[in-house]
Amino acid sequence: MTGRPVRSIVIAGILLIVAPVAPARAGIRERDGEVGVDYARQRFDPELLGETGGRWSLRGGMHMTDLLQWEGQITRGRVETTPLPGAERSMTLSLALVNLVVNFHPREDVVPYVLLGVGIAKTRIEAVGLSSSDTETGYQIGGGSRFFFGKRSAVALRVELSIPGGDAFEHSYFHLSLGAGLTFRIGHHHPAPVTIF
Amino acid sequence: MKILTRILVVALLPACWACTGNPEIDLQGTWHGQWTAGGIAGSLQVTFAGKRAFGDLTLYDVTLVLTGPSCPGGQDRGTGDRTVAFNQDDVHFAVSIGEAAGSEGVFLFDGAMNGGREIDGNYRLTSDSCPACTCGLGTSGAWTVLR
Repeated sequence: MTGRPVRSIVIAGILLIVAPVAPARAGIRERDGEVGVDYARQRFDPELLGETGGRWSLRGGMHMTDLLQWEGQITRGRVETTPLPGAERSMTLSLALVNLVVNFHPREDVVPYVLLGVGIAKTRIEAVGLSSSDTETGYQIGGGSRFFFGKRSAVALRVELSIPGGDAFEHSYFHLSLGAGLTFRIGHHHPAPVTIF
Repeated sequence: MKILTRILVVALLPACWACTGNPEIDLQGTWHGQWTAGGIAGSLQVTFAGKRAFGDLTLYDVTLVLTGPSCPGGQDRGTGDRTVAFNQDDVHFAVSIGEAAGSEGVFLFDGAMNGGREIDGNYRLTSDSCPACTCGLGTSGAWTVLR
């Protein structure tokens, strides 16, 4: 196989991947899709260690209107302390949520939002070699903003303050978290047609 | 009448089930017993305090005092803050013996409840060594304590 066909295939592949997020205008609007990944620092509920740990999230959703968006999110956070060797205490929280996101559009390249999510939460605890886990209802409330990189970018920094939580072991636990990540608009949105009358 | 009887039976079943379940055991307090390692044995006193819930596990602070043939006039003492984990049957705890930096040793004790008043198990050294240990615990052995 010569170099030229290979290069063409590679370029075509890149275009196939990049095309859906190719810049149209900054911001995100009705019928746009969105995917993203973010990392948060999370203060775990005082009843469950009360320590600060990390949490990763993957998100994907669709903007049904300029205002409303459905979003799926899976997230996993963990914190561990080791007071003595062999006596580790840890807590792992995994959530699969469906978020209803309400978006605002004060500027084309800044899109703040608030969200409310519900789904399932798996809480796993370990202490000194003993462990236990429980899977029950998970939920989340939060808010943040997307800051698009430039006026024609489909990529934005997404910053979010949220309180994910879950029921487990006959209690409800809440974990304050502050996160940031990248979000990508999928699809184009075009300015509304101008009517001159 | 038949339906009423059935309703009563169904309503009473959960109560009967609760009566047959394990009553909640609280480890809080001092337990006395012995440890053995190979051919040697000594006495053991374990105090569990500072009970707190951690999910459906229970955490305690632990203080351990032990004697042995190599320390007839003295004793080894160990402590651990929130290093005891307990569920319905299993008790795991870690203690650090010795306070001087570099001389302390950490032991992990794994045990199981035998009824509500006895715990039996094994222990092992999880740090590299224990220069502060004087009573001959060694690196592993067995233990039992009673309330």
